[in-house]
Amino acid sequence: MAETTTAVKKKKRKNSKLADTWRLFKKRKTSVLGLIIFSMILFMVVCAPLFVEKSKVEESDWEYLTSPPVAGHIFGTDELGRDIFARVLYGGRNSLEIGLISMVCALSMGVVIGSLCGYFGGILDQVVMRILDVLKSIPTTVLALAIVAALGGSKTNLIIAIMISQTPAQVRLVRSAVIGIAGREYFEAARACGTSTPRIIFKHIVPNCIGTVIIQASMAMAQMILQAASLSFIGLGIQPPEPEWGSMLSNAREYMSTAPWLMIFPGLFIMLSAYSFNLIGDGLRDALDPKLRS
Amino acid sequence: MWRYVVKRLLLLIPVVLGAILIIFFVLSFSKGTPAEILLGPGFTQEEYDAYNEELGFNDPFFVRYFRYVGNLLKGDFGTSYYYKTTVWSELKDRIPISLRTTFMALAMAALIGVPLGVLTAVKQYTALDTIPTALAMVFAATPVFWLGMLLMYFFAVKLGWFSTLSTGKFSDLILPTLALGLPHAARQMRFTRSSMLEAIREDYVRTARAKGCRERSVIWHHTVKNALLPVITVIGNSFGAMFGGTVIIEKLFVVNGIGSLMVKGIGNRDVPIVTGCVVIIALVYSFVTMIVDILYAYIDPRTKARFIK
Repeated sequence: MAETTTAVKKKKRKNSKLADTWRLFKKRKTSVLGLIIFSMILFMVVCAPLFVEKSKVEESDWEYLTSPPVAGHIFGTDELGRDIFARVLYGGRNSLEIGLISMVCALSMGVVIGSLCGYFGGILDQVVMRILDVLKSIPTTVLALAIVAALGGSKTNLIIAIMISQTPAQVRLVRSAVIGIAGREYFEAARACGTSTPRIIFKHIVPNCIGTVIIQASMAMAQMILQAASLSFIGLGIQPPEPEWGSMLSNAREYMSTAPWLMIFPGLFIMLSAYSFNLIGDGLRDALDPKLRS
Repeated sequence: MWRYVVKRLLLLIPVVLGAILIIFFVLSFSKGTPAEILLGPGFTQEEYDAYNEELGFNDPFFVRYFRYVGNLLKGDFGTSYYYKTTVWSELKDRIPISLRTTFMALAMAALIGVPLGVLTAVKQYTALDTIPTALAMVFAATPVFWLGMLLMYFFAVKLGWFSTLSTGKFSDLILPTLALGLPHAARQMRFTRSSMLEAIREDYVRTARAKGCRERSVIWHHTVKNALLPVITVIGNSFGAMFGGTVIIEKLFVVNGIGSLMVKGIGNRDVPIVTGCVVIIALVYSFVTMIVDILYAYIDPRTKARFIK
């Protein structure tokens, strides 16, 4: 009986923490807007078959070549008569997938390397920091470009390139968060009590860093979507006829003067995705950053 | 102060050597050997082997790396596979073009971003704050090439104020500069704003107000001066991102700069050209970062005091 009460209490406390985060997040109206925009894009992209069949992506409608938006083709068609609406929705699967996977990979690398460096310091930290200094001297776009150039353009290689070029920033961020915690009194107290290293990491460091990591995840996602789109725009990345927002824009450039609708919609979707993640990140910062709470 | 400058200059050497090593390492994964690319289809095995031997491609990785660095010190960037000329002869005319675009964009971003950041922070919670801040959020999320395409469509195709292709005239630089600079102006504005808001809440500002300083003096002498210090670093970082961004903008506006050379080099699998471009970009970026750091140390009395004894 006593056990169940503690269990219930624990559950309640956990729930209230989540509710607390949501309450603080909700306060910022723009962040809620960001969440709504992103949910809508995600719904359209994931449930794309509800709106338009997949076959439309590569199917040509010969009666409507480079047609402006009309009934039946609400975003218009391209020079091959392909439906832009279908291509934007199914292309979004590629764009968001690349952004999401490279964000998760880069951030995981950042968390592992950054926390090891921040916690243990010493030679490991010195070596990693010098490598990061070197990597910092090459702009991320150029580094990512060189990597896809060497490996060849494909979805996997694009993800690898973005992940590698964005990892240094994540490592630095997590490292400084961990170092910040290691300087606090509660950390000193835990060590003085003889708490074991794993327990310190999982009980003190991880819970205190998780906020920083979640905020960063949202901001990084926006960066990665933009980066993936620019690499595809240059023609390195997903190869046609497979749709992707960046490569659709690359194609639209040639028909700019005759068919401006080709460039409006893919660009709008890239912008709105990145925009919504930035807004969500701002809201999460309000909700999760304990420094701003007081 | 000089000790610091010398120290920073010396630090530049390992960073640049490391950057070349990374680029060399990454590009060593490229498919195809130089002989395959240079000879084209239909070559014999002997020709292939002889060519690779002649180019020193069969040597171990580090031998090739040190040979490249050694040649670099003599100003030799190697020979392009595609143009058959020296890489430097391709690079030398294009570096100023890209640098000009980058510096113009940087100046524009700073001239728009920083004053707006100060204004929005001073007028926090009024329309002068919320509207620019909301706009900055939109611009920070806009991909540079899409912004470039929209600018090109409205100002070149629709209104005909500029030409869509770069012909080398000054007016042709305006659209690429805008496309490259506006997203960074937005970022610098957001950063300046938060830096200002932090400074406004500092004790020394409260003291200045308590002393009875006029609001104008509080803002200009006590807040802006302190708040702009970290902004210098952000502007320096923008330079790197913009210089890298020229790769995309030059492709869009068909500008004959280092970025479009690199993209073409990637298409032709011209490894010496790509290596040369990245080395130049890394060199210029490291140099600018160094200048920014020195400038920062010079302006910030706290850092300056550590080096002047």
